[in-house]
Amino acid sequence: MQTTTPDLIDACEMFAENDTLAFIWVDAELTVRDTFGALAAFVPRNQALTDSVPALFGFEDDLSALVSDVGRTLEIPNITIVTGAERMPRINLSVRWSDARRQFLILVARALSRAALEQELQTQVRNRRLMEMMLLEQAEAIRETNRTLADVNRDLAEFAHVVSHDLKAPMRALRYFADDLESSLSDPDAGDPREHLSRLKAQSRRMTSMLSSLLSYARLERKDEALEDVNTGELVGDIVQSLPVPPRLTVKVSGTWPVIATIPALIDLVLRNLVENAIRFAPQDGGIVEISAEVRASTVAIAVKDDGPGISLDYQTAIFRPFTQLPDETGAIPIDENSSGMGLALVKRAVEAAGAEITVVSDPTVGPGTVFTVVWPL
Amino acid sequence: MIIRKIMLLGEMGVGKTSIVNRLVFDTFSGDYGVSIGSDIYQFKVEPSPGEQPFLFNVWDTDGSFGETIFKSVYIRGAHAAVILGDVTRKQTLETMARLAVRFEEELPGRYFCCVLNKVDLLEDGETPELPERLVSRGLPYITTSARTGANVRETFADAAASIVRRGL
Repeated sequence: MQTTTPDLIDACEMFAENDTLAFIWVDAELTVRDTFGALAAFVPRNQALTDSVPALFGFEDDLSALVSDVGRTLEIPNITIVTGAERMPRINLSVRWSDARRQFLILVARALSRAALEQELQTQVRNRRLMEMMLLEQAEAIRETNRTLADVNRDLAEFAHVVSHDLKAPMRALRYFADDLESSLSDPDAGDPREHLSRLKAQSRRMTSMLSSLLSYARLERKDEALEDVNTGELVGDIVQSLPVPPRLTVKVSGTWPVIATIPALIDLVLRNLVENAIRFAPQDGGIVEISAEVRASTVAIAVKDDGPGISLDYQTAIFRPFTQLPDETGAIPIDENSSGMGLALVKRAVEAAGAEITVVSDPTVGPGTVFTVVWPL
Repeated sequence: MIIRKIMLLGEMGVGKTSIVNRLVFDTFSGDYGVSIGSDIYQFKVEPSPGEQPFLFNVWDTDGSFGETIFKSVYIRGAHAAVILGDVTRKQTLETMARLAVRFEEELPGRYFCCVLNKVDLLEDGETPELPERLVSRGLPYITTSARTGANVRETFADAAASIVRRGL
């Protein structure tokens, strides 16, 4: 059988009546000249194409290009024009230039039932992907909570250790002093009650100081405090000015000190403690403390160096624990009323709260001196 | 009348169809399903006295396009884009910022605005966490709620005003 033009027209009419396809003829000036088929019923004749078919607005350059590229088709698949509560059918637009008619021919073809299935499938895929994304986000939130819980557990364990060990000794001492005081009240050979009372009061003050330091330590956690600009050069100058420096000890400040956005109390605590320690442990007669800063890509590295006896490798982790005091060269823990043993623990805690890092370099077997380096975010 | 083509971009489920339904029909369903290809809406921006009427052809695109939208036929001839993220899903805000940067690169000089949608789902006093890329590049953004309608019309009115002012 030979397919004739009337056959083709019949076929087109059949599909056009069935809302399966339609045609739009448009002249070179992009004015709609004719339409065929109910799918194109929304397109008025003798009006600008881009006003009548919003889907083709913005494609003027592409349409012009078709004139010089006969045979090429501009395809805009899977679109629907929503003009009111009712949606027009989903369609595919295909545009070609007909050199014979000197007109554009636009084929409007209904995106067939496959689209409904695809829609359902895509909806299911989307719902699954949304669920997966939510699960991933919740998993991350759980991991974050676990990290926080691990930190809290570590802190609790540390506190339990501090309370059970470090505070037990002074509590015991308080009891002994109270016993001595009680004995001295009835037995003159047991010493002077005023002396026992004085020691009891001194120990009580020490306990108060320890508890106060411990509270400060507990409060030093990561907080969403507002960041402020801190001029680190001015800060370190103020700290050095405020600390008692022995006359024959030299404190040198060098390097580039930037203005950084941070929580002022944290960096003040860290630098003050490190400089104070360096001054304390450097030789009081002729010792040198060097404080320097170096700006890196997104951090500033601040180093505090002294030429004191140094810190044995065995103690370089322990020094950051609460109430830790180092033994002297004889192995005895020196009694220092000015030190609670909390300084470096507070420093470590403040450094972590600020998102900074601290390292210590020292090896008394090689030579004297200690360098603490704090790398602080800019 | 001034007519311009504006794209709605953003990851799936961020509320593109909800925004355009709130804009055009002042309705909200919360269950629009998925957009395949592109749905085209028209929205007339109320002109200020003495100004020309302004019509947006709003292209609501399939969220699964991602950055491949820039290689698709749908975005051709676009004059502007509103790029959405869901404030309750951080990842979608990162995608929003990434799409905005890409839009700026692919269609330089065109108007765009990042839209942090679903602010009605935030707790009282809670503010959305802005993606670093949005902040560092100073991308323009606004918060909206398709559910309540907050800032929806304003977003498109601002877009129209900016397009007219800049002669885009």
